[in-house]
Amino acid sequence: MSRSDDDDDVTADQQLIAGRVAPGDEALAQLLAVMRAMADGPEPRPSAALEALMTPAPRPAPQPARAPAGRVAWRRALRWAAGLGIAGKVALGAGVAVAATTGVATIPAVPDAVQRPVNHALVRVERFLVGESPEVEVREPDAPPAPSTEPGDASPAAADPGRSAAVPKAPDDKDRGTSTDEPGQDGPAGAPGSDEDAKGTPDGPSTQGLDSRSTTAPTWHRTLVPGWPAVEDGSTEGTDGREPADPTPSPSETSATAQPDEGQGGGNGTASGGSEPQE
Amino acid sequence: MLDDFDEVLARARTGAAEAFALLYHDLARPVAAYIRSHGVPDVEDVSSEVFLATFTGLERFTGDQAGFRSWVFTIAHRRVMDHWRRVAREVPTTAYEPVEDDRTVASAESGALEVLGTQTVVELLGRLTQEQREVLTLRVVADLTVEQVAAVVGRSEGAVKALQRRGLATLRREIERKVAPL
Repeated sequence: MSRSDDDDDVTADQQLIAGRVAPGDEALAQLLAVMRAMADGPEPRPSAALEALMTPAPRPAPQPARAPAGRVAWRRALRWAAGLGIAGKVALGAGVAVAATTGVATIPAVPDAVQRPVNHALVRVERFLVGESPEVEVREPDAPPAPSTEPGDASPAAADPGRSAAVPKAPDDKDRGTSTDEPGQDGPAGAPGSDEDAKGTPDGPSTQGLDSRSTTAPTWHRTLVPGWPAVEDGSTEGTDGREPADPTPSPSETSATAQPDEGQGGGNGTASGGSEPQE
Repeated sequence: MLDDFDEVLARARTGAAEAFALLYHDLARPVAAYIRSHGVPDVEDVSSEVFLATFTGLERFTGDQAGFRSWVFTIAHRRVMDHWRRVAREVPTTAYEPVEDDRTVASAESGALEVLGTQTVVELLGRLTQEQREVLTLRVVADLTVEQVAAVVGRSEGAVKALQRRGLATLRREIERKVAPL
């Protein structure tokens, strides 16, 4: 076989493989056609691993942005409030104001400087609404520390400023002595107005002093609390702790007559009282 | 053939699932036919192994679409060799069961199938040597050039041509002997 014959054979093979049917090779051409047809057969099913590789990762369905539960409740409340009538809105606002004020007056975490005026304002509002007798007075909120050495002086009134201010003080409430009713004002033992002074007799100056303190209102109270009646007796504002005596106390003020602070150890108590506004 | 092969290949290199699918659908059938022509019974398993190896080794491939096709069949060739080494047996010669054959063939080739079934072709290819069968299947089923086949089997182009010529001669003889009654 010459080289030319080899080339011819190669060329014939190439044409045969390319699908051209040479004379005399129909059967072989048919076989090769079947071989090509095998490549047009059904696509093999991929394995699980290959299928996973060719399958796009499912994207999570877009979830609607969910607001926090607190925010949802707040929006719901706003929608509810927006649907109220004018009267309802006014009532709602007043309720929110009262609740906020009460919270300020009662929550121990609120500083005393803020709590005291709010506390007294609430007391006065309560008295106004309830219609208590004028004899029921508010105790002096700004009483100086006149601690008692008795542990029992840490009365519930001291723990609850709102209640201590609202509870009427009986004139013979001698158990109170001169210890302050204000929370956080229990001074150390031996301080002015301690045991000896606090243990006065019921009709003694101790009781009077207690009553005096409970019937007075501080100057800052008058200025800070809106609606506080104008002070008619400017002399009641003692800066030296000495309360000028009210020359003509009204009968209703007999229990609230300002007296020299017997339990204040010489008058370092806040000079107030005597001018308790009558409601 | 993919019109935007380079783009698809680039996406496949980034791990895009749809690019893998495009490459698979483009070559799955010829690869499966190549594997089937070698008498491998588990065509789907071996073809899946081929494409898994292809997709996981894309970083090592450089070339065009023809080179990629040659590269895939190189992997298929090695997988087939591994398979036969593993099972250590010859091409099966079990009887063909038409009921179990759900394959379809293009209409242009229907005439040939009336005379020669796929299983018959597989049986005839089994009469060839391993190298001749390898070259002919790569040339005909995989539609590779002589150069590409030479690259796949690791031989020269001359050797591929020689193997091709001897393989065709063997088939011609076997067909004349087997199909002569037709």
